[in-house]
Amino acid sequence: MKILVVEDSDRLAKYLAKGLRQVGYAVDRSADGEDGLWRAQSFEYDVIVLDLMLPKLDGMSVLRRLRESESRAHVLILTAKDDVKDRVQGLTQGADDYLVKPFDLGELLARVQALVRRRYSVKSPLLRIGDLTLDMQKREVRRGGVSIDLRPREYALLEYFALRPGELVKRSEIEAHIYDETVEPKSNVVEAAVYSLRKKIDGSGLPPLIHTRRGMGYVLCAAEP
Amino acid sequence: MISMRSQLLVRLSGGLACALLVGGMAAHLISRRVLLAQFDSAQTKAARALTALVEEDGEKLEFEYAGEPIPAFGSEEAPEYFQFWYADGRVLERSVSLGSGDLPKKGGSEGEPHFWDLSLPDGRAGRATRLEFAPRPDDDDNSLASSVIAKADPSATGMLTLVYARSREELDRTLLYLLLTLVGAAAAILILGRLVIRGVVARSTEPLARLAHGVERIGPTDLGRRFEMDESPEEIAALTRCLNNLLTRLEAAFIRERLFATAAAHELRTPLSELRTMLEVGLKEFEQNDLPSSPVSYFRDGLASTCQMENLAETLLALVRSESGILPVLRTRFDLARLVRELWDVHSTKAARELRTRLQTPDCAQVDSDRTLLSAILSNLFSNAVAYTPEGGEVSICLARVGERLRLTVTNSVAGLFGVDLDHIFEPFWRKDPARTVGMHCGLGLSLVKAYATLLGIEVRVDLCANNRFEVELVIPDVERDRADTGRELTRGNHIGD
Repeated sequence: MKILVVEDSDRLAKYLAKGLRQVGYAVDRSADGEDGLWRAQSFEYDVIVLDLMLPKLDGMSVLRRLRESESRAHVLILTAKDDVKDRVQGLTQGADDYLVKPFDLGELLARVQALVRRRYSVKSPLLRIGDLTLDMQKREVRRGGVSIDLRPREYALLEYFALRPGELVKRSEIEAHIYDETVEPKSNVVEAAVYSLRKKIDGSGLPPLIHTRRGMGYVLCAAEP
Repeated sequence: MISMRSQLLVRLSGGLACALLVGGMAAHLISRRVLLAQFDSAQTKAARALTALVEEDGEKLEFEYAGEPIPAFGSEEAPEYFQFWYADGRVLERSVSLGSGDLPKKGGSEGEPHFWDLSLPDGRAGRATRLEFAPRPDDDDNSLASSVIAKADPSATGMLTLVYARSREELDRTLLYLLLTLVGAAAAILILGRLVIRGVVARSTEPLARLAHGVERIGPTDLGRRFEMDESPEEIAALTRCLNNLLTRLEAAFIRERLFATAAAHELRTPLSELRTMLEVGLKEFEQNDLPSSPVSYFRDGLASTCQMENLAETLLALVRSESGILPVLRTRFDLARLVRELWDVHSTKAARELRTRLQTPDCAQVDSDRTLLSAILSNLFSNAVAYTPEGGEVSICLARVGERLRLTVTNSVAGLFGVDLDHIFEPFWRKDPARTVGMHCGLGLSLVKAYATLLGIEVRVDLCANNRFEVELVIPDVERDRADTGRELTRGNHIGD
């Protein structure tokens, strides 16, 4: 999942991005409103973490323009403004959630995850594909009851597949949602990641769950479609 | 605590009681005097009537009822008494009620009756009247009722004395009734008056009680409430007006304090978030990898966030201290020109952008002031100028003597600042750009400048000059004029030092 953090405090943005990356999100950062709006309109983000008091263009204007441009990204406002009227204004302007600084990182991650689930119309944090279960809350993956140890990026890839079970997931979509600006997408980076993931979940002679559609992308499903 | 209502009640009741006492006493004395006068008048008439019974017949004096009982003087119950004397002291006649006794004969002037109280022979309280009179000649020689009561005596033709006495118990009873009536009436008036006074006082002080009740109900959350003055008496209306004005001032102060506290808390939220997030992320990284990948960056960033909070806390503390007047001012004589040059060196080299700078100071400019506070003022002004001047802009500092004062101007290019913004420029936490991203600046610098300047008696003025140039002018008093004032001008560019 790809997150955009629009925050003018360089240190906060840096550690927030680091915390999000720790759990497998791809994170881009913007330090002002204008750049944040440009990025949000130019790339596809699952969730945008948006500060309100931003240089150049304030967060509320960014949100308004995003909604005017019919952006589908879910927006979590992260601000020092704690007045009820600010919360009401933020939510009525089109924000999906509102969190006041200082915040608990665990709570922020949970809220981001809830927004990701909402983005893909999934209510339960427990996803099942055949005998594969993915617990979004605990970030645990099991196949046939056996726990599988995945790296954050591998988990993010599997979660992205699992949120769209049976759907064709294009390589470009994986690049857009799993990799951030810190990774220079190479031609084989997606294939390598899928290969690594497939080895872990389809190994030991189990029926494969990730199916390749040559030249098109990948499908995660229990049986060969 | 003394109750105003009780005080009014006691004082008005006391006043009423005094008035009743004085009035009652006066009424009693006057009534007593009148009644006594009436009594004496009646007694005089009765005595004169008795004198009419004594007639001079030639050389003899006759008392018409001599030897005969007169009903008023002969009855056994409540008798009256009289006694006549010749001028030589011999008794001419006495009433039957006296028996062989005498009435006391007190002195008096001729023609004028004389009265006194006495104890009557039968023991009752009485009042006596003494009259000196000349017996009238008998105009009826043939009167059968007359009798010779005295033998011919030259002395019998002189002035006679009559003492007439009768009981005054009825008069005393009347006076007693009058006194009791007056006392009763006074007591009734006092009780009734007290009730009336209590009601009047309660009604008069009711608006005050209402006001007190209203004031008691006002808390910090409803300082916007105001008291009605429509039906209040003038005195209460004046008090209400004062209270409303006080509430207005209090409300403004509360709003200001609340905004100040909110802004201060607001300023702390971001560095606190930074610290918390970096600690949580670092902890997680530690748990995952045993050691964070770059621990130095955590320490460095943590230190920067802490310094930011420390700066904010110290500035807030300094502001509060200076505004509450507890900051000591230690005046010494020092060279302000040198101080300006030293501080500008520090700040100009800190600027990370391309700026054109211009510094103009005299060689020496002695001033009596607090060096520490003045340094803080200058540091804030220089730091602001460097931080808010856009790239390629100019910062100009000029120190010069104007009369007995020193004038320091700090001018810098600005973007997006308008004339209306100058009204807010000294407000705590005010910034043109609401984003809190200008380094260590937290929007308190100019507030602190203003507070310190006030302490040092320095005038501070701000202006927006042509070509978007923001100017802060300080007028510093008490300058030693006998120093050389050869100015020197330094034009520096791109952070070139002195």
